[in-house]
Amino acid sequence: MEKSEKRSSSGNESIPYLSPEITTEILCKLPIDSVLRCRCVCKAWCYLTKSPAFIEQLLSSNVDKPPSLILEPNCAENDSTQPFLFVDIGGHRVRQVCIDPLKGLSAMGTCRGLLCVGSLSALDPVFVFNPVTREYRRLPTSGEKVINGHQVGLSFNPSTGKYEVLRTYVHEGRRCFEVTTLGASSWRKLDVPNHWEAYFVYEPVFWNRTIHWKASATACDFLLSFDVCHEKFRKISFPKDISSFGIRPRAKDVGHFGLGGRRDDDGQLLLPPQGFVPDGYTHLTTMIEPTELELLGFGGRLTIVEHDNEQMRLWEMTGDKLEDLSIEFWDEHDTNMEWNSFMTYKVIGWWSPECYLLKVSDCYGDIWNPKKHFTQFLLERANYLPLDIPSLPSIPSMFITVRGYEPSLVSPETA
Amino acid sequence: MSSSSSSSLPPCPKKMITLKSSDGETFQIEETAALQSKTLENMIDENCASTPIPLRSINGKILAKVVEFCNKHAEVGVDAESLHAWDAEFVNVEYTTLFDYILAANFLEIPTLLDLASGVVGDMIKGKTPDEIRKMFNINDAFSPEEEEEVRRANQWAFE
Repeated sequence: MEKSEKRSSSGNESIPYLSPEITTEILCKLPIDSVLRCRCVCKAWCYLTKSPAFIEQLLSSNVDKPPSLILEPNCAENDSTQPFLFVDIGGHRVRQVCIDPLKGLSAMGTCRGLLCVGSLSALDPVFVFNPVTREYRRLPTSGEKVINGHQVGLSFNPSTGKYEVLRTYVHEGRRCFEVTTLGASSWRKLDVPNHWEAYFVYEPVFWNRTIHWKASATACDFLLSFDVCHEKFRKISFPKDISSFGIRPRAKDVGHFGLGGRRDDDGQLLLPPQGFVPDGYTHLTTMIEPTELELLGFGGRLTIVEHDNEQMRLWEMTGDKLEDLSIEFWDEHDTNMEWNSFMTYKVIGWWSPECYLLKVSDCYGDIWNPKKHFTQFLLERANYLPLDIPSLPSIPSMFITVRGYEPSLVSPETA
Repeated sequence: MSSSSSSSLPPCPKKMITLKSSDGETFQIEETAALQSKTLENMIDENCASTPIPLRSINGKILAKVVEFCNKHAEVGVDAESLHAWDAEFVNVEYTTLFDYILAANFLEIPTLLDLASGVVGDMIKGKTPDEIRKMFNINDAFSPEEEEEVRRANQWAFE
């Protein structure tokens, strides 16, 4: 038996006792899969890594680590052949997340490592799911209704420690909003003005006790923000400078299409105008729609990314209470590259303020099947470093990236 | 002081504080460098730093290194890249010494040092098996093989 006398004779007395606080400090430096492997080390570590304080610190240490991505299979509804993929960028690994009840469903809002998963055209089922711990929890059912435009957002209320779920859908031509608390037994309908039925909403983004949706009404984009603590909505306009494309000298705009083309589920343009032959097009510069605004809730910030052919401008949500929120200019970068409607990108995260993670969609080879890849954009050198992850799926256009996902050990069961 | 603003004047004497290690060694550190430690900062704020400060949990060998770290990080005009290289050299030591740095940084509340040293220990853990980690940390409350298998099964994907 290995008893303590043997240990001291082997010189291990030079290893000091590390308190749980210090062990936490060390383990929080690890990527999340290493943390899970460390649960095997001993009872104390297993117990420690399940404690709420550890889970909280691990979550806040995400900003110092390479991001992880969740890729959702981009397949027809009810085609449940493809699993979700968990991409560990730091460890250059891709792992499948096979959870039978979740197959064929879409990823929606994400908050603190939890992901809402549901159907765009049915109210049930909706799950709150942690792709790391593989735990999931089904939300209350709400009966049969013919709906579309279903989007489910997730938010955390730090004063109660509860997760609030807000969903929207269109039923009989009306846009409806419902809210529930994770663990509650039913949804509650929220009263919203009648004219909201005309709004189109994009995917929900969580930030600081609020859920935000980029929304469109006739010819204007705005933010629809919901304060989960006080159950209040607010419409926030984008600042006037955003998308005022006239203020800067523009690249020569030869092929400005009507851009009414088909978009994939990421909203990226797939199709040039009818009759257009994509041949010898390298000289063409096409305008990117002025509505090229993306919301990104990541690293404790809500960022609004605006991009055109050459510039990337970042705006940040500031303020604490819903009524104080405002959108402030944060930063602007020359992307050192000319983007157009064949070659577009989305900002999906960053792992330091100097390095952004972009998803690039390239239609030059085949306009029907854009090639997609992930790349790092290094600000200081203004250059690009493609991500080299050998096991990434060979047809990345079959997958949609869940933006702003931050891995955690938060359990949907105890939440 | 003279009212002359000539730059050839010697700089005003730096305010020093004295730290005393567990084995009785004393170290002088400039107050500006010491401010990286929240513990020392509080003592300075409360005017408790005029006499040598006893640090009973830190031996002379480690305290010398900690002082060196604080001095380096208080230097002005060091560019980020060379500081990074200096840090890498600083933590290029036995992991048991890293544990001592971590304990000292935790006690003195020096977040930069705590972060640096625990990051290196974290990197060491990454590629190790549970058994190797147990040896490294001198852990003896391991699971039984059956229990370990159960924990492993619960997080199977992380082992694939």
